[in-house]
Amino acid sequence: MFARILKNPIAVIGLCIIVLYMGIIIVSQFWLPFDPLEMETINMLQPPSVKSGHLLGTDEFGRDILSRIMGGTGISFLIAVAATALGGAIGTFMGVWSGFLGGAWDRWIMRIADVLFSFPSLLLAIFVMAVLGEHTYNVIIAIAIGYIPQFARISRGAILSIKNNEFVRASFASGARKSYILTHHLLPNIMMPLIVQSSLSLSVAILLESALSFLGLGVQPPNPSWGNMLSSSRKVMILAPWTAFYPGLAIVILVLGFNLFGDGLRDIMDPRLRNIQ
Amino acid sequence: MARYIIRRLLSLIPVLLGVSIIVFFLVRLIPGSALQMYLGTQVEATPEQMEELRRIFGEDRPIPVLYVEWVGNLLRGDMGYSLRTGRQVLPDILQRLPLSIELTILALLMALIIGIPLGILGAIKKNPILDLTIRITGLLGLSLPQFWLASLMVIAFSGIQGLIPMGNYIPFTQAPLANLKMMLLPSLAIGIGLAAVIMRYMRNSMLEVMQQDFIRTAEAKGLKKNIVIVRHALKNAILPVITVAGFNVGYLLGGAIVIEEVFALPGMGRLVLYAIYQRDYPLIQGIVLIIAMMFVVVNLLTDLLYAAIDPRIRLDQKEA
Amino acid sequence: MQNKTLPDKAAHKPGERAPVILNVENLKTQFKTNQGLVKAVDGISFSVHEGEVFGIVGESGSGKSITNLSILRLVPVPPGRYAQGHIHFKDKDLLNVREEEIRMVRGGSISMIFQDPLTSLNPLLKISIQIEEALLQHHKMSKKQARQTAVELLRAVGIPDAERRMDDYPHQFSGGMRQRVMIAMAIGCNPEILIADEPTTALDVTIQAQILELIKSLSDTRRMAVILVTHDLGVVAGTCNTVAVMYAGRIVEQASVDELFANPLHPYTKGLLASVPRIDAAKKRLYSIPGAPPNLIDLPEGCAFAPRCEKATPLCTRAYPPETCSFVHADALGEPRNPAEDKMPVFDDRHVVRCWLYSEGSNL
Repeated sequence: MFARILKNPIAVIGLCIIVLYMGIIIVSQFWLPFDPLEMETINMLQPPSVKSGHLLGTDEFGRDILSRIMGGTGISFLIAVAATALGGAIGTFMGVWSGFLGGAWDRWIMRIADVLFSFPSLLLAIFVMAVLGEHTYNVIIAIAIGYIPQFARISRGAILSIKNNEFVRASFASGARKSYILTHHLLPNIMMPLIVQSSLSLSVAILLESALSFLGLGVQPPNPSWGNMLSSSRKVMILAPWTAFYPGLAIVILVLGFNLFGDGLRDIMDPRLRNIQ
Repeated sequence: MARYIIRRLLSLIPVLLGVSIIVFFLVRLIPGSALQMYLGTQVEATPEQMEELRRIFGEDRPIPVLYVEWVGNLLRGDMGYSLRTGRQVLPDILQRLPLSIELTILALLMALIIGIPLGILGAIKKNPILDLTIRITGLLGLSLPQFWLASLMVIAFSGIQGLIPMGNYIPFTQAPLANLKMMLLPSLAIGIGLAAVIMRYMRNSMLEVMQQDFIRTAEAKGLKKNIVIVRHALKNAILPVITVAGFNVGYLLGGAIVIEEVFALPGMGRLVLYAIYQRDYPLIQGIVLIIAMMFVVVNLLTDLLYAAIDPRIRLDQKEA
Repeated sequence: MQNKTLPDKAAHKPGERAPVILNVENLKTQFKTNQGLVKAVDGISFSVHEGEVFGIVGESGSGKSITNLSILRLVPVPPGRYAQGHIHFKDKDLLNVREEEIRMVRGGSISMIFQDPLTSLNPLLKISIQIEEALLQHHKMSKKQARQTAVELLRAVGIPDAERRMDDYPHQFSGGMRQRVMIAMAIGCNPEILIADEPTTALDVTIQAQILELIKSLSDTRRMAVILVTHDLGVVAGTCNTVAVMYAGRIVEQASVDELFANPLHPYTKGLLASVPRIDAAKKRLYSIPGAPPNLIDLPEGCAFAPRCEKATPLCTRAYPPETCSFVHADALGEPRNPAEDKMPVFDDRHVVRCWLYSEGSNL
C-alpha cells in the first residue's frame, strides 16, 4: 500500500511537505539561527536580508522571524496531532459502537454528535478555551471536541456499510464474540476512511490553533506561535509586511501539505472508476 | 409542499429548546464569577449592596431556577441585561446583527459565484493539466487562514480609499454602494475557503452525474450540449452542493468572528468574543442562542431549497 | 407526423425487398483502458431494411450495446474510439459526419431507448418537458403544439389519463409505464429506426410482453425499423424478423428468425438455444454453455468461441473463420426448409455463419 501512495504525485508532494516540517522540528531542537525569544530592540522591524542574517526579517521586538517560525512549528504540530488523535479516538469509539449496536444507542449517540456538530468549530473552540482557561494544552481539548462528531459519523458510516455483509453475518452465525468480530472484521475496513479524515483534520487543526492564538486564546506570547505572531504584527504590518506574510505562509504550506496528502490518499482509496465495465 | 414546511417548522421547537438548555448550562461552566470581575474594578461594597448585587447577578438562586426565569423572560422578548454595560442585551445584539448577517450572506454569495462555475468547468473540460490546476487551487483555497488573508488585504489595499472598512464602517442602510465596497474584501476573505469546498463538490458531483444514464438519453435525443449540461446535468449535480453549502454556513460564522476582529467591524462576532473574555453571561447566552436560531433557519432554508428542486422529496404519494 | 397505412411491410417475392436504410460495414469500436485495448466491437457488418425488426442477441460483454451506441456515435470518445468501419445511413457515413449532423440524426431519424427506464429518465424534470424537448429540438413548432403532440404520443403508447400524467415526474410511474414514456420520447419525431437496447430486461415478465407488443405495433404502423438488442432468446422469437448472434464483439451467425430457430448452425447459437429451459423437455438438468465469456482484451487469434466449443479443432484456434453465406431457399447446409412455414415476415433470406465447420476450405 505504501507503494501505491508513492505513485500518486499529489500525495507525494503532500508527504514531502509534511516531512520537511517534521525535519524542521527536529532541527529546531538543536539549532536555530537566532534565539526566538531574544529581543534586540535596536534591530526591530528589519526587512529580510541575507546580509544581516535575518533571512525573513525581524519583528517589532527585534526577534528573528525565521527562528520564531521554526520554533513555533513544534508546538503547532504537537497540538494538531494530539487534538486529532484525541478527537479521533473518542469520535471513532462513539461511532463504532453506535453503528454496531444500532437502535436506541445509535440514535442517542448520534444526537449528541449532531449537537456538537451544529456549532461552528471556531466558536466551540473559543467557548471551551473560555471554560478551561487560556493555556496552551487546553487548545488540544478545545479542538478535539469539535472533531468528535466528524469521526463519529465517518466510523459509524463505515461500520454500517459492512455490518450487514455476508461474512460478518457468517461470523455471528458461527458464534464469534462481538468484540472479536469488531476487531478482526470491522476495524480493518474503516482504517482507510479514518486515515483520510485524520489527514484533513490535521490540516484544520493547524488552522484552528493559529486562529485561536491569533485571538489570544492559544499559545501565549512570548512563546512563538504562527497565530500569535500574526496577531502581534497587526500594529506594524503595513510598515513591515514581512512580519505578517511569512508566519502566515508557514501555515499555508503546512496545511496545504496535509490537504494534498489526504486528497492523494482519497484518490487511492476510491475504486478507480475510469475503467469501463 | 406546505405540509412539509409546517412539519419542519414544528421540529425546530425541541431543537431550540435543547440548544437553549445547553447554552445556559455550559455558560455557567466558565470559571470566574462575573460578579467578582465586576467588583474587581470597584471599591468594596457594603453588605446590603453585596446582597443586591448578588440578586442582580443571580448568584442567590439555584441554576435551574435561573434557567426558567431566563426562558420566561425570553418569551417576553427580554434577554436580560449585560453584566458589563448594564444595557439590555437584545437591542445591543440586534443592532450588530445586520452586519454579521450581511457579511455571512456576501461570503456565501462569493463562495457560490466563484465555486460553482469553476467546479462545472473542471468537470466538463477534459484537460488533465487544467484538472490538476483546479484541484491544487481548490486545496490551496482550503489552506488559507482567513486572518492571514485579511491581513494581506489590509496591507495591500489600505492605500485605496473605501476598500478597507477599518474603523469607519458605514451601514448598508446609510450608503449601500459604499457599504458593499468595503464589505467586499472581508466577505471574500471569509468566503474563499468555502468557495474551494464548493468547487470541489461541484466538480465531483458533475462528474458523477455526467456518468448517469439519463445524460445518455438526453444526448440520444440530439439535444445541444449546453442544454444537456444545464438542464439535465447541472440541475441534478447541484443538489449535494446545496446541502454542503448549507452545512458550512457555520464555518462562515466562525470566520466572521475572526474577520470582524481583523477589520474592526462592529458585528456580532466581535461582540461574542468580548463577551466571553468578560464572562458576560447574559450576553453570551443571548448571542449563542441567536446564532443557534440562525443555524436552524439556514438548515430549514437549505432543506426547502432542496425540496423545491427535487420532486422526489416533496411529493408524498407515488402513483402507480 | 401522420401514421402511414401501408400494405404488409415485408416482401417475400424476390426482387421486391424493402429497401436497406442502414448499412453497418466492418465496424470496430475499441476502448483504451489501463489493462489494455478492449475490442468491444471487432468488425461487424449488417444491414437493416425499412420496417424490419432486427434483433441482436448475445451475452453481456458480447458488444451488442456498444454496437448500438456506435451507430449514434454515443460512445464516450476518450476512452473509446471508432477504430474502423462505416455506418451508411441516407448517403452519409455516420462515423464521419460533423457533430452538428449526427446531432440532427439522434432523436430525429434514429432514436434510442435504454434498458433501465428509471435511471434513463431525468428524475428532476416533468416528463412533459422531457418529451417536448426532443420535439422542439428537431422540429419547428410552438410550445403549445409540442405539448399537444406529447399528449398524443403518450396516448399512442398506451398511458391512461395522458393529459394529467404529463405533469408527473418519472418516479411517479411504474416500471412498465416508464418504459412506455421512454418509447414515446423516442418516437416523437417519427424516426426511421428505433434502437432498443434491452428494453425489457428491467421489467416484469408480464410487462415485458406488453412492451414488446407495443414496439412491434409501432413498427408496423409507422414503418419504423427496430434494432432490438437483448440477451433473451424468448424476446427475439416473438418480435424480430431477423436475428444476428454476437459473441466477443463479432457476429457469428445471422438469419431470419424462424430459420435461426429451426436450423441453428453455429455451436454458440445451438448452445444458447439449448440453454433455454423448456417445460416440455424430458431432460432434468438445465444446460449451460461450459466455460466463461472471453476477456475482450486478450482475444485469441482464431475463433473466440473455440475454448468453449465442443466441436473445436486446431484450425479453429489458429484462424478466424470467414463468412459463409447460404440462402434459405437454396440448398442449405442442412435440410431444405419450406418458407411457407415461416411465421414472421422475412426481410433478408440469407443465412450467414462464421464457423469452420461450414466453411468450404476447411475440409471439416
